[in-house]
Amino acid sequence: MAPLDHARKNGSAELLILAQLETRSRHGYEIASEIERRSGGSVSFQPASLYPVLYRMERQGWIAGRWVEKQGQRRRRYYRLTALGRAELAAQRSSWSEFLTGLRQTAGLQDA
Amino acid sequence: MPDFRAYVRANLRLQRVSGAREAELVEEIALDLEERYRRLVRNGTDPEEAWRQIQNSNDWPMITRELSGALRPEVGSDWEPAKRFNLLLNLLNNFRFAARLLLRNRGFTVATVLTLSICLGANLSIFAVIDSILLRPLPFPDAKRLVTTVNSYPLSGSPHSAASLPNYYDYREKIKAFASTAIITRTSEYAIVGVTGSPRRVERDRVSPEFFGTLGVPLLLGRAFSDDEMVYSRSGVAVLTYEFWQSYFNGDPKVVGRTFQMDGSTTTVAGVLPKGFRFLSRHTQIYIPAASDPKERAVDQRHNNRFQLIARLAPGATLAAARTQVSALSGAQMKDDPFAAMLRADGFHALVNELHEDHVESIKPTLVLLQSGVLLLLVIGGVNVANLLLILASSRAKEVAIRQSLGDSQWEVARQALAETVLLTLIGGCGGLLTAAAGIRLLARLGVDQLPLGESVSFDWRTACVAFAGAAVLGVLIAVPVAGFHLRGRLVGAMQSETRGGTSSRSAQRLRHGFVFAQIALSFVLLSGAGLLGISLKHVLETSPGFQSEHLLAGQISLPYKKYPDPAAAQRLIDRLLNTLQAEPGITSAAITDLMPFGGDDDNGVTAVEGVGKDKSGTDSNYRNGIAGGYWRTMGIPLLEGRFLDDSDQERKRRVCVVDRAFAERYWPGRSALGHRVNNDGPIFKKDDAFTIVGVVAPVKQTGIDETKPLGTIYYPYEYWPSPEIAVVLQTPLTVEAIGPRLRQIVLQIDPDLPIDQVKLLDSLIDESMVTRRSTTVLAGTFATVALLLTVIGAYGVLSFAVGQRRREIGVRMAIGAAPQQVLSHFMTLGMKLLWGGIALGGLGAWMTSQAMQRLLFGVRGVPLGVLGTTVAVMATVVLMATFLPSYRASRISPMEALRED
Repeated sequence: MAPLDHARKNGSAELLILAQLETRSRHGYEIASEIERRSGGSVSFQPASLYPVLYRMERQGWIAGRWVEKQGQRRRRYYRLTALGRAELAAQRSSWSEFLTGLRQTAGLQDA
Repeated sequence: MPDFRAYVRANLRLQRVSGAREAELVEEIALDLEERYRRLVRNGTDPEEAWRQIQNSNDWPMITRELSGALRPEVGSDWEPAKRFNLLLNLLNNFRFAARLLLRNRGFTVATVLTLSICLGANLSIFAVIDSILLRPLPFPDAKRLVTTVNSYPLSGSPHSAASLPNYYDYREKIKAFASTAIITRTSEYAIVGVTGSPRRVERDRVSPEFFGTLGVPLLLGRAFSDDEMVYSRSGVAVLTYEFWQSYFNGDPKVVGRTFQMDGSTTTVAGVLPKGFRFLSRHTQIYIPAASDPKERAVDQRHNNRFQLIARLAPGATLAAARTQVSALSGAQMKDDPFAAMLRADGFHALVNELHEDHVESIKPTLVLLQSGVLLLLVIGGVNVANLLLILASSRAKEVAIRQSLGDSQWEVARQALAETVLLTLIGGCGGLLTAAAGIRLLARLGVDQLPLGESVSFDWRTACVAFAGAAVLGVLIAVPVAGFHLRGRLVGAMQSETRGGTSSRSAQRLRHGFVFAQIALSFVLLSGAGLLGISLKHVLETSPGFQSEHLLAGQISLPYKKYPDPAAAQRLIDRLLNTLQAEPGITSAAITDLMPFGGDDDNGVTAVEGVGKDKSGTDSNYRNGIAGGYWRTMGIPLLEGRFLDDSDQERKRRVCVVDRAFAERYWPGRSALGHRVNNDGPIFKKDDAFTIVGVVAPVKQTGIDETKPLGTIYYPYEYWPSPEIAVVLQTPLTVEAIGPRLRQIVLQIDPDLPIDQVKLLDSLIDESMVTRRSTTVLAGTFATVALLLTVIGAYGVLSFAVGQRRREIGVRMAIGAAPQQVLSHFMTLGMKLLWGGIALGGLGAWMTSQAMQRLLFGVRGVPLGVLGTTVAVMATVVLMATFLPSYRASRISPMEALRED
């Protein structure tokens, strides 16, 4: 499957999540609120849309979840990017950029 | 602080996930929700409100489904089920998810299931009638091959007469396309059975020997008749129905050869029919041979149509072949027919029709009209459900978009939509079955049993199968727009709308508006159709039958031949009876007639009029009525000219008669009919047997109030137009219950072997004659009302939804200065557009419907302005009301609140 097709079919959820885990590991709620914050509120994830994607990605080996107990905090499940995930992030980034460039050129979209 | 863990555990129902894994999932999601809750509270939301928001934001069936999908083992792993089984599991999942969705949206589910139950139920009820009457074959083996031949005289006003005895003997011998040919009396007669003092009348038919064989029904006991028994001297045998055998002979197994008294004569039982045997809609209990003498089989009796002829097509023969042969034979027979010239002028030809079709022909247009009406109702209901589903779909666009982004294929989305609509319509189908069961009972009350084959109307597995098949098809049809909506929705747009309170897409909006538009148009058609039937019924009810039916009561008597072999004997009985009745307190006046209006008899024939050839109008048949006693005074029929017949006519044996205005005007328009002479037997005028017209009376309706072309009637003294089947007519203020037993007593006092029955008010006879018209109108009115209601719900639902969707936009508009009136008028204009468009299209449909309904209407042409105006007014009022409420609500939206909601 061509990268463009692939990216469109799977939607952007995986890319968004992978990107949040690039610099450090985060727990589910943190991922969701980070996406919301960075998109200025235009993209948000409810549990229904977030956790299934996380589990799917985990099963694919892109991310790894681990229960962590930090001092003064409750036990939480943190997700980190695996090597496979990092590669996937790079691949998705490039295919989405390609796609968006194509979209800009053909649909006359303007940069935000 | 709410217990989030308990909350998640109570709602998440995962399968095939280990306990430990599930506990982890619960923990993780509970923590997430708790964080969201805390954030809301931190930002100033009231804790209770925050908890409410958290609860509302979770679509548990969807979370469960998505998680199950995400945790599903990879394809190819050890316990992956076979692919086929997998598809089944998926389907089950689809239905389970659909069921949860329906449970969650209870209001929506109840509204749609009710709509579907009513619409499907109405369709099923009518379908059960159509199935029983029109579709199901007659209950005889290979019934499709049964035909009937009918002599038709279209130019003399009698396009569907019957057949004659000579026809039977000719066809039996000469029509090779008929394997067997038989006759049965055109209308059932009555026989008197029972013992002296308590005799009773039972329906009896005369049939030819092959009658049961032609139908393909073997006798249970004994034998059918033989050709030898087709002469009067040997015709004292009878074939009994199973029911009569049981009731009269207690089911005696040795009944064959036993004798019983019928009409005062000894009759021998030849055979017994199997249980449940019934010919078409008759209630015959005894069959006797259709005996005749050579005179009755002569050439000049070919058009004495007293029988119904049935035949079974020979193996390999077609209906077309039978038609050709019968037509050729009747053409050839014209050569020696003494009435050939007249028959040509009457346009005589012989029809060969399928027996079933011929029997139900009269009711077919009504049933088709009703089924079309309920189908329209189903379309309106279906559109309503589709509209509601589209609205629901809009609010679920995000969910579906996420599912697609998670890898659900288009097929999976469509399959889910299909599961939802089909589940909904199947539940509606179950409701429809219940509604139909009640509907059938209602139809029985409305008199469906009086239709041809109407008593066989029932609700069975066929109807149930149709119910579920229909419901499933409807589900698939409704799924199309819903699936289309989901698949066309853009992923990113839908996902973004999660936060932006976006409006729905233009195409979805257009679709919803189109649906309301169609509903208005269809309801308009139904409403105006019901209006037309209503007006038509009103005209019928306002039309006088031509006599005073109030306080008028009639009972039927059959005079057995053995005791009353000649008119003089019958006249003696009648005289005694009338004298006794007139002396009876409570009876104002009494009379005898052989042709009771609305009594189910429409015996008519050709009368020869002195000096007049064939009638110019093309009709030369008229009713003949043999009367005794003060018939016109009793009936309240006014005298227009001359005098009534009286006792002195009878005493002096005067050959005089009275005609009605319809007859007088046909032959002597603008002139007096008095003094002219007519003959009462056959089309050729014979001076010696002529009757002189001494009076002209007002015409009466004979078969139905909606008769438009009166045939005309000649009234003869009973002695000159005698009949064994007579009716006693009484003018009395007493009730049927009071006078009925007394009447029976009086008759038995005069002749202990003579029963009188079917004692009824003329008013109720008239009512019975209108049963089809009345019931059709009641049903059409009901359907139209339901349709109107559904349309209102549809228009209201769509407008309300539009307002809800555009709250934010309305808020913005009002914030920048739009006046509430502008908002109000914006939405009202939308409603008006849909209304007037729908009415325009509906008006066209109404006109087309009125054309199609013309045969069923009385005194109505096209669509009268009154009906049109009322329909427009009703439609406009209810639709505007349905539009006003949401529009008004839109104009009251507070800009601050609308904007704050995001």
